[in-house]
Amino acid sequence: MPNAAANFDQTILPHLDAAYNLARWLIGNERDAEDVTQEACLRAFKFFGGYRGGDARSWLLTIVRRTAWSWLQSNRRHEEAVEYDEELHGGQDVAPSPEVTLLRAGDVEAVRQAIGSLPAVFREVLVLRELEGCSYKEIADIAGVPVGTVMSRLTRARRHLQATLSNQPQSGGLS
Amino acid sequence: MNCQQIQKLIHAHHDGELDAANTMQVDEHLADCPSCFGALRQLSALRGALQNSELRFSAPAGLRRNISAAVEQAAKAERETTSARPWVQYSGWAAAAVLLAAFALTFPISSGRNEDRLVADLTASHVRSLMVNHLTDVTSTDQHTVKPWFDGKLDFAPPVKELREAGFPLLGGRMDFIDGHSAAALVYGRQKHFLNLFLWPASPPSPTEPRSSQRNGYNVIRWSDGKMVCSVVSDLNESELREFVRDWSAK
Repeated sequence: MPNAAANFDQTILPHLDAAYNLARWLIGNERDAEDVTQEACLRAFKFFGGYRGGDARSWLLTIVRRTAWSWLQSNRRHEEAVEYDEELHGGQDVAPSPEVTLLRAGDVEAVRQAIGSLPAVFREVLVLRELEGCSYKEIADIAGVPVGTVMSRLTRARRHLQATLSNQPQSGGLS
Repeated sequence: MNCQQIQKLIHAHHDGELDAANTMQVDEHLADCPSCFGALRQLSALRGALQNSELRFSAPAGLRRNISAAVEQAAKAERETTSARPWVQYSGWAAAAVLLAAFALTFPISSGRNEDRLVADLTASHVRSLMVNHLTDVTSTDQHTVKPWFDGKLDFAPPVKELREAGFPLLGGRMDFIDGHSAAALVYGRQKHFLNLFLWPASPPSPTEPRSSQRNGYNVIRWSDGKMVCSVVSDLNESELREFVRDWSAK
């Protein structure tokens, strides 16, 4: 116990970039994302005694996500609770045709905006998968949803991005 | 498998999350179906666009330093609690057990050790609430705004009182976690000082008189009205803090 802080520094803080990246994408601005990350890390330290090994990154990301969501709620940024059909194929929600190219895929700003335009429940899944390289199981643990939900959200999120980046009319209606 | 079934599995295939049997079936289909193969290439193109390192935010250097410092400070507060009871550290378990038994006989309700830890926990929460700009989750001077905010967030309804006339304006409320359970934190002001009042249900429901303690320059007063365990923490001096307790209890 004498070196709890050093231990925490070594085990948890290597994942600070991942923590900040998730917070930043969920919160949307630098300053509040920093506050949320710092608060999450202090909470993590407080519960560090209860950390029983295992994947430190997922453990930290779970706390960051929870902290970020309660920040979003208390700042009244209620994103509409996105209710949707878990069936992947409903109505017009079809995959883009193979000929469609991602016209603006090389334009970082356009990609950033496209991710930013996703509702938070889709955005967090996409960020965890594509930017952090988390497995479905890890995402399910972090977001507290079943693996099936992770899959369907990821599918919807990608279709939304494909439609946005190829200047196609929106299909599926995420928001 | 037909194209529709493949389309359902293609994301998992792309993410390397399919089992061997399904992977084989999807691969077979892709070899013969330009349309589904095209869809897979679309996914790869999207991944290519998302792999751009500019899309991933890195933690600012200042944030890393702040967190290390804050954690170090929290650890120091924790160490001070531990060193205040060296017998736990240095004596064997048997000796500790004997002491504990003696303690339990003398003070059947709360041992000094628990009390110490609780006061440390309360103080740490108070400091944290000031340090990370997270004093309140709901900011309002109106008890009718603050009280309903806790609905559904806690499994009890904390009493929210306005003490503006007594010179302790209500500033807002926050969820907190003290000593293993959820607590409501009400934030009051006194000139430039902040007071954190932590509330959780009393069990057993027996009233206790206010007891003061000090830790790291903060004053803590704990009492129970029989329904709620109340703990107020502030850098305010003890007599003014006692005044708060009187005003709160009288209201």
